[in-house]
Formats: sequence, structure tokens, C-alpha cells
Amino acid sequence: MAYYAPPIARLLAELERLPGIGPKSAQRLAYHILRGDADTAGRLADAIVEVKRSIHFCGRCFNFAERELCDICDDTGRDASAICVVEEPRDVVAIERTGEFRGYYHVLQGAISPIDGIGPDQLRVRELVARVGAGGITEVILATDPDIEGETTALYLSRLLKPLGTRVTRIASGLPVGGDLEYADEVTLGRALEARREMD
Amino acid sequence: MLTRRVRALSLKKTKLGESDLIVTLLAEDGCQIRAVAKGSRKPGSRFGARVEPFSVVDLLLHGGRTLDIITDAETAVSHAPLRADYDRSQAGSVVVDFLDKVSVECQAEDRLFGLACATLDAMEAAGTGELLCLVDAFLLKGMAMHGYRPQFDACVGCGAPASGSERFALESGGPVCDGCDCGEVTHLAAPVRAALVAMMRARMADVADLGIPGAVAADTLAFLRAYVVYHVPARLKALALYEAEARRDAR
Ligand SMILES: [Zn+2]
Ligand SMILES: [Zn+2]
Repeated sequence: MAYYAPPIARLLAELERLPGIGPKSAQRLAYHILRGDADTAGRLADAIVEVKRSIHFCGRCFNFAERELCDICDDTGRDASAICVVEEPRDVVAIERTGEFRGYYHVLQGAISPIDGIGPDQLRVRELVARVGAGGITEVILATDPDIEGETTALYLSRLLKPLGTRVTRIASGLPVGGDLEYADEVTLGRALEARREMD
Repeated sequence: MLTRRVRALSLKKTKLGESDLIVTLLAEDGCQIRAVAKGSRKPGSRFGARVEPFSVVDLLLHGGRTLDIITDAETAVSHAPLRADYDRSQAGSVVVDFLDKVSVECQAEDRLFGLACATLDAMEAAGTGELLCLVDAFLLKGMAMHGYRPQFDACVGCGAPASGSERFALESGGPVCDGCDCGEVTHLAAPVRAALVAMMRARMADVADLGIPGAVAADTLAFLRAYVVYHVPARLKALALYEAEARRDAR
């Protein structure tokens, strides 16, 4: 039943594990790699190994970082009184692009999703509470995705953080409900940040 | 290509590729539907918001090669209050997770849809303290409709009256007398038994009025979880999380 030589089968199996890659796409990528020269393939392999070796999570905000802290946490020129809470590192990039936010971030590394078995304990919630509890934070902006998991997470965090005496706000609707934050264009996302409202 | 109209309850959304979603739904006839909502994670999507979990929607489906494609979606009941409150959302998640796991494509059990809608409606109206009872009653009734209706009167081994027994046989779904051995048993305390009997008789809309104390409702959930886990092969992650939280709150 072996249609492919074992090394090709192995590459296909690894490619198919990637999100959004089905058998057809995996085949296309594998053929592309096979047809290309050894240097090109080597650069791709090196880049994958290098990113895993050098990038880890920032010790403060859990964004991707090359050193102990990420570039944003390392920047002392930002507004230390505001934290913007997002689900994934890619959301940090989306909000940075708007140029509307000058505070620091906190990356939860996911959202509460009971059906997937993800509760608050599986996210970087405890670390967020510790950061806010340490004082000096006057506003926490909840910029989780505008879908059910993001809304649930925002509700949970609001209930947890408000007793700590900080202002808790949620980015405004105007973002497409059910959508991904990363797909919101800069103008829409910027407006949503600007028009954020206090959580009940 | 066939186009059909169907009313369905949205259970969950799974990301597909760059910007699409696969929506899993429970149709009015009890069948599970998995359909693609194209471009629904992008700004300006027409369906993204309407197919959020807990929403009852009227869909226009177009038969695709492997999955149906959603070509139109109108909200029938949004159940928005369930998404706007953390506790309600957690309780509702147990309902949609259970339905996702027990509803098999085109193995119709039409009463499940009605039960689900009645449960979500009740959860919308209920106070926070009553949600646990509603989850219990839903699981009990849902298991009954799924073919595992428990009984609490006669020993499942010999048929002798056994309503006083605290041993409940998971396989046969009933009490066991002292003289019988009927496989794996779980503990069934008298207050839990009374709560289950009352819930079985009550309509979903009346369950909150039964006045079942919180501690009993938490024990009832532990019992039901053992029963559900024994008979439903898929892992019910929302139920596991919910029970862990209920146990933490009860302490
Ligand atoms: Zn950082
Ligand atoms: Zn017996």
C-alpha cells in the first residue's frame, strides 16, 4: 500500500499536521520542495529549526519573544498604566498596526472554550491577575475576539479584575461578530479600540 | 445541486482554512448538520454572527461535494443572554457539547431539538443559582431520549422493589438490591434520587421552581456525569469542566 517512498510519506504526514493543510495542499507543497534545489529546502528547514530554538514566550506578557522579555515589554517608553488583553500573539500585531494603543499587552494564549475543554486554568489568567494586582494599572482593555469564546473570556476576566479596582473596558462592537480579530482592518480595529466601553 | 431549508440550533464552530467556518448544528428533526459558512471570519460576513452557538437559525443549505454550504441564515431565536453572562454561557456549553456528541448525522431523534430549545430558553430566564438544576434536568432527559432512560424503583437484577437502595447499576440504568450483582455501580444518595425523580416529571420550564438545594444539585450532576460518561463514548469536555467548577463552588 506504499504509494510514496518513505521519506516523501514522512514529509506529507508532517505537512498535513499544519492548520489548513489537507492532503492535496500537502502534496503540492511536498512536490514544490522536491522540485526545488537543496539550498532552498535547507533554508526552509533551518528557518523552522531556528524559530523554535530562538523564540519563546515573553516572561511578562506571553507574546513571542527572542529574549527574556518581548520587544514591547522591553520598551520603557510605553504607557505602563494600561494593559490590552488579547488571545494570541498575532492579535498583538493587529493592534500594533492600528497605532492606537501605547500601553502593554497580555496574551492569554487562547480563549475559554468549554466544548474544547479549555477553562480559565488552561490560559494565562493567573499571570494577568498578578500583573493587575501588583498595582499601577488603571485600565485593562479586553480585546479578545468578538465570538462566543472571546465574549465568554471577557465576561470572566471582567468579573475577576473589577474587584481589583481597575477600570475594565471591552473593545467596541463594529467588529464583525463571529470574526477573527486578525482579519479586522486597521481602521475598523482602531475605531473599535477608540470606542471601547466599560464592562458591566 | 440540491438546495434545502432547515431550522437548526448552532452547536459549535470550527475554523476551516483561512477565513471559513464549519458550523455544527442540530436540525429540527434531530439530525446533525455540518455546514460551511464561507468567509464568515472576515469583516462584513453575512453569517458570522447568526451562526454563533446557542442561536436557532433558519438556514438555506446548498449541497456541496462533502459538506453543505450555508447560502443564507436568518436568526429565529438568538439566545443572546446566554452569551452575555459567564455562568449562563458555561451552562449552555454543557447542552451544546452533549448534543454535539450524541446527535449523529441523520439518525433522527426529533425530541432532542425541542428539549434543547426549552433548556436554553429556561437558562435565559433562570437565576444564576438555578442553572445547575437545569443542566442536571437536561442531561437526565437528554439521556432518556438518547435511549438511556434510568428508572429508580425496581432492582435491575431481580425486579424486587429497590427504591431504598443507594447502589445504582450504570449498565442497566437502575437500582440494585442487596442480593444482586449487576456490574459497575455508582452511589445514588436518597436526596439525589428524589431530585432525579422530580426532574424527570417536571417540564424544563418548571425545573427551576422545584427548589432543589445547590448541594443536592451538585451531587446530582456528579451522578449524572458518571451515567453519561458510562454510556456516551465521546469525551464531554464541557461537562467535565462544569462539574469541576460546580464541585469547587459547592465547597
Ligand atoms: Zn512581553
Ligand atoms: Zn435484585
